[in-house]
Amino acid sequence: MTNRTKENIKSVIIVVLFLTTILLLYLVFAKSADVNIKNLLPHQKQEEVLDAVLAKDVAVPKKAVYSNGSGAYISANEKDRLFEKALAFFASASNQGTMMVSEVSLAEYEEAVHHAESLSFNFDYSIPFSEFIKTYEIKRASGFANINSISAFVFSGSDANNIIAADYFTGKYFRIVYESERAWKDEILLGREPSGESSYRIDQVLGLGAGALVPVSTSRKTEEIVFITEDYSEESPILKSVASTVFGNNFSFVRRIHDNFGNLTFMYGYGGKTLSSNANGSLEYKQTDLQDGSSNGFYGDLQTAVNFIAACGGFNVNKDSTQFVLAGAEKDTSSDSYTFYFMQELDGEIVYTEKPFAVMVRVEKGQVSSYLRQAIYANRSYAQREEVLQAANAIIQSRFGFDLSVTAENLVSISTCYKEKDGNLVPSWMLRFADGSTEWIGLKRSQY
Amino acid sequence: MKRFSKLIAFVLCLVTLASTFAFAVTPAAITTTNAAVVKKQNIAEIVSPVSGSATKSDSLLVSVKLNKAATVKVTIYEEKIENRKVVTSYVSGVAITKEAISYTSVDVTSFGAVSSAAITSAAATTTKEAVSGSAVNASSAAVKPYVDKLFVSPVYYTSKDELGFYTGQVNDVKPGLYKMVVEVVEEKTAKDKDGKEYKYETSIEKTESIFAVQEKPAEEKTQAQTKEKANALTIITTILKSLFK
Repeated sequence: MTNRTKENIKSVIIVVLFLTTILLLYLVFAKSADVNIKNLLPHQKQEEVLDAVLAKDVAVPKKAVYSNGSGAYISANEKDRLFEKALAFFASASNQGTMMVSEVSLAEYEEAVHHAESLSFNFDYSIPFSEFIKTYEIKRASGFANINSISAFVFSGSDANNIIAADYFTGKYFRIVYESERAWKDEILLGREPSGESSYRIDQVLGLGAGALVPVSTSRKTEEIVFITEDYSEESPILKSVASTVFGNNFSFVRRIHDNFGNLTFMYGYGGKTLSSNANGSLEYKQTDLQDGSSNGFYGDLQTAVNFIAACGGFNVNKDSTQFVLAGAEKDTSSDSYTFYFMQELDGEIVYTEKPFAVMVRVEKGQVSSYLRQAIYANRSYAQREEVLQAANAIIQSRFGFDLSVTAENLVSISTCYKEKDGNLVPSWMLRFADGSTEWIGLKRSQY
Repeated sequence: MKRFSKLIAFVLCLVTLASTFAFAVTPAAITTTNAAVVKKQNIAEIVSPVSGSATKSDSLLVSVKLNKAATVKVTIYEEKIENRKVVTSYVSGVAITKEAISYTSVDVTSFGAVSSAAITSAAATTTKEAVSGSAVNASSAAVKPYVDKLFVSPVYYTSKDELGFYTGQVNDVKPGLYKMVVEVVEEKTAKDKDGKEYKYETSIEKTESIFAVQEKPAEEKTQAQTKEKANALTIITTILKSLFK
């Protein structure tokens, strides 16, 4: 065998080996169900997590408010049940005939909400209307294309056939007229006023101001509640669960960095994924090396966010403790992303700590690109309700203005909540003013 | 010339002194005026229900403003018409007649339509005459008298601040004419004939509000609803918009 022949055989073998390598790689990475590249490399396990909580169960209205048309408003206790019934009614009405859509002015909207019997469902964020009707199986009408998003929908009047879709954030209001002869009050409220806390317009209660609704009930739980901030230290179960989710089960390619400020950072690759336990008591995860993909819309991205939270520290596991509630959703079309903000709620009252929110999740191109968790943990109180500082007197206690009329004019809302103070959660009135400022006043005289 | 200067100086001194007196008097005058205002100012003011108003709701907002630290007693009465009629019954063939008294709610259906003045004038007839009974006898008179019937038992509220509100809600209010009485009360001590101390309540101020609660209409259509729901032009516009979007 000549040297030339040997070289030719070698070349053929090299070519065959090269092709075999490519073939095997193809079989391993693309065809084999058992062997998957995703299982071999650090990855995010959230795709494997079952939908512990459904996105549509998270994107629920903050309040269901019934107005009797004479200035009295009832914040319904069973808002989630009423919401379900309202959606069923909406879906059923959409199937019974043609729905007509027309844009209405703010004045017409207010007339329908405040000067007639009405039931309003209010969200803290905008939901794309096309996704909303798809999620709740509401039959599409031709005029629905004009409604981009909603942050509230209202059943108005004792007459049965109109629903107002509103988006406070864009200032757009639409009336949807349907053909059904069934009365919404009979279907949703069983023909009677819902039970709940009553409020009246501030001008009726104080004789001053306009706009804000003032509760007249004076019975509340007043016990201060001890809370703990979630532990994100290196050995904590939460940090381990996040690390396991985002880096897989091994830390082979993960660097560990301790800085002088007390922050502990785990970094994969060249900063493609970083997980930090910060000295300020927060846990932060960021991923920059995102795969190609696209947003799955409001509900799809929210489901991704909720699944990620459930896998990385937990989401509403114990019903008697603090619960996460969706408090904001921002859409960024330039980065094809949704950013969701979650607050915490205890016993139906929003909890305000030094941090502006408990959890933030950014879902970019359908994947979690940023996660910030700074939550607390507290158990609900089983104390009896007792007489507390009346809302009208809390407004007087406000430091916003020396003159009551100035305070009343600028007051946007007043509601009860838990506010962090000296390591405890104090039951408080929260007053929001037109300039964006907020004040908290304890429900008991000793808590002012 | 020198004498003239002295005179000028003297006059100036007098003017200055006089103005001092004038300014010295002004704050006193202001104080007096304020004192008068304070004297006139009510300790308790009824914010809701507004006197002379007619409301179409079965729940009622009660709001009382207290302009100083005080205790108020809030009572709500329904103003009812007293009906007396002679009832004859027979016992063993003997006719026994006695007067039966019944009370009926005031028909306030037309109050809102007429004006709030109707309620106010109705309220005027409610006064002590009806309570004393003298007006009851005058049942044939054009204006029927009313009698206070307790609707909500007295509620006491104490404000420890210079400005305070008492708020509350009354549910299940039936149509009729009502009167809310707010009394500023003080607790005083006295001695009985045995020299034993006892406490009693005295009312130092009394405010009233007369208002009507009317039947809620079965079908109260709003202005927004009574408007044409979707006229032809709106429908065409909607369809065109959806086609070319």
